[in-house]
Amino acid sequence: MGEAVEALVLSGVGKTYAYSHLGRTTYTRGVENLSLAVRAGEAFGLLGLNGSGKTTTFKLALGLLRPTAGTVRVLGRSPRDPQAQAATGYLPELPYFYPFLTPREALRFYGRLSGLGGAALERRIDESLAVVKLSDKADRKIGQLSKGLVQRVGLAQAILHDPQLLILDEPVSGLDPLAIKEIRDTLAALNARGKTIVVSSHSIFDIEKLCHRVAILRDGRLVAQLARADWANAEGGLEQLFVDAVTGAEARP
Amino acid sequence: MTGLRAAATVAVNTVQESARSRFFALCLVFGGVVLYASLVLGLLAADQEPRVLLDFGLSLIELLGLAAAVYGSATIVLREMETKTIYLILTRPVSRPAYLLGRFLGLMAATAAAMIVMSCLHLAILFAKGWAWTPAYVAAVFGSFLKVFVVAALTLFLALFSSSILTALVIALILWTLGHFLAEIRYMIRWGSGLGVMAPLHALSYVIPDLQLLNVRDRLAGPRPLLAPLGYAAAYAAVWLALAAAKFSRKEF
Amino acid sequence: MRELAAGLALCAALNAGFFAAWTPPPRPIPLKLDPETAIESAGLLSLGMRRVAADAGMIRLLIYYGTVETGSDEEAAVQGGGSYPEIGARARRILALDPTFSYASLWAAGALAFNLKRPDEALALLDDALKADPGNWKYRAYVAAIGFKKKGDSGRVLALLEPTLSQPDCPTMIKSMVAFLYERAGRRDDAIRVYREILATSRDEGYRHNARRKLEELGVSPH
Repeated sequence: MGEAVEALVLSGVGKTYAYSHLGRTTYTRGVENLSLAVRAGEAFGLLGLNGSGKTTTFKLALGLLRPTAGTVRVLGRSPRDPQAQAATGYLPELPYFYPFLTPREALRFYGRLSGLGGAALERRIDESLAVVKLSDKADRKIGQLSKGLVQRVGLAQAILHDPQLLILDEPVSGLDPLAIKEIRDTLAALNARGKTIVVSSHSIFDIEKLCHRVAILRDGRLVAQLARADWANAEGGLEQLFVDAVTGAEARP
Repeated sequence: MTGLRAAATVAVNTVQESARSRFFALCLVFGGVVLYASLVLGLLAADQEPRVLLDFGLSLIELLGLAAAVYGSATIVLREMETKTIYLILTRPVSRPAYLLGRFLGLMAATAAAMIVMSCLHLAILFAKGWAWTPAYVAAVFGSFLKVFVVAALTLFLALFSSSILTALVIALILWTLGHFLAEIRYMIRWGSGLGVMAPLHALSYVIPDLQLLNVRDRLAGPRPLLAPLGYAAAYAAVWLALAAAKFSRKEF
Repeated sequence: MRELAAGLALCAALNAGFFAAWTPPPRPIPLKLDPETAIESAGLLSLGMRRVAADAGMIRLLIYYGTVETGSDEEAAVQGGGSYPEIGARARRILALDPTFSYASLWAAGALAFNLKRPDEALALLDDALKADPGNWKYRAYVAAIGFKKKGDSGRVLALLEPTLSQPDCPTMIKSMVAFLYERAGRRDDAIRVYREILATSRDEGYRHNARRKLEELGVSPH
């Protein structure tokens, strides 16, 4: 697939959830008038409190949801375009895998679904396991692995097919500090190799370290877009800027 | 990747999952226990012991196949949605109809395998009791499988339509019984013609699958056409699978 | 909702078109449920288990006939006496469930005609059985045999029943009766043959025990 300058573009995107019960329909805003563009090769952070629309934004980017307004473009294509899907890797929050499979078997399954096969697939499985430092546990049942190791399996399946764009929802959620550092280093290495990374996290520290730019959401709306220079020069760093943005204090552009 | 290849990959995964499923194992164990019980019952029938063993055993195989397939159809997609394992599949270049078809065919392959295992056990008991082989046995088991196939396809649609495992199971079981009762329903309609209260029943009689057509198990001594009923079963199942795929294609996660 | 509506419409079209283009084999007549077995019958029929319901009926019929009737002479019951008024009705019920279950009709007709001395009831039952299965030659053989039994012509009875003995649906009760008639007619070799066949094929321990005993009395081995 040809290189797009912008890996992910949301233009005026809105998503309203409709819930019908006993003849009554209630509407909940997921996101509203959201516009942002992630450049190819950058590490982009998405921050916000719980319920601010981060996961909705990711699902719109992945084609799991359809926008009720605006457009979403992934590598220049619709999110449900097979070529866009083939070039995107996704790690959901708290990934769940079939417990009876080993990491190797799980990666083989997902790899086949991504169009890989034969010796090339086995090679990619070994490489992905090595990147996430899971090679020595590749043949143990996933049901027997710790949470941190399952998270690594999740990351391995996201990078397995060598995607251009990685969308990671809370990749370090619930992990111990050592595991967090290892995952962050892995993501930094992937970004250094040219992968575009879009990541959400409640850990401001990790976002600060990893990302070139961040967007902050509040109640489904974009309230701030910041570059590294912005928080590097701000008193209190990214954390203070985040708090200002989500509490409604004036945010810096 | 091609839809067929994706469907095959998902199907193989489904068979693996079913084989390791506790529910499937329980079905087989229960089947063994009840086959033993039918042995005891057969003793009461004296000269007709082989016939009783044959009839009870075939009925049991059918009921277990029904339990496994209907439960699987009701849960297989909904459970993946609950655990979000479905995200890792649908964000890959896999068409939604291919995924659904793969899950369904994998489930039916596992069900067929379970029914074959049960049949082998049943045949061993029958031969030990001096039963004379007839090819009608194969036709009977195949007819049972076709019935299960039709109702499982319907259950899959119901599960996606209602998003409720319980609703799908209950309606599927009601349709299973009504499908065997069609002759009686049509008799009641003729008997009560002119009564307005029969109108809903009359309408229902047109859409219920005619499972008696496939009930070769109950016509072992009579004519056993299979080609036309096979076409009927395939067409009926195809209707509900196609509509399930259409429903699923529009589903948001 | 539109998928559901489309599905219902397509199924209606499929059912209408299919049955207009193809005629299925004749279906069993819808059953009238009698109060005692209504729930069981409805349950089994709704699961497509007519044959199982017929089997259950046969088991109950055998238990019914094998149980000494309240107030009757136990010795008479052992010798096949007793009244057992429900045999005909129970057998008809099995016939309605599964018209191809000829064993049940032959067994009941044999019990009525040859044990309980009620040949007219047996003939009425066989008449119903022939309506359900007109091609069944064994029913005709039994009708004729019962007719000759009424006239006391054991020779013709034996000639009519002999071809039915090798059929899989021949009740052991009939074989045992035929062996007894052969004995009484002085046809020792034929009696021995039939008793040996009972030992080889019957699963009814009562009749097998009787056959063994008879062969001992006749001074031959069981095989």
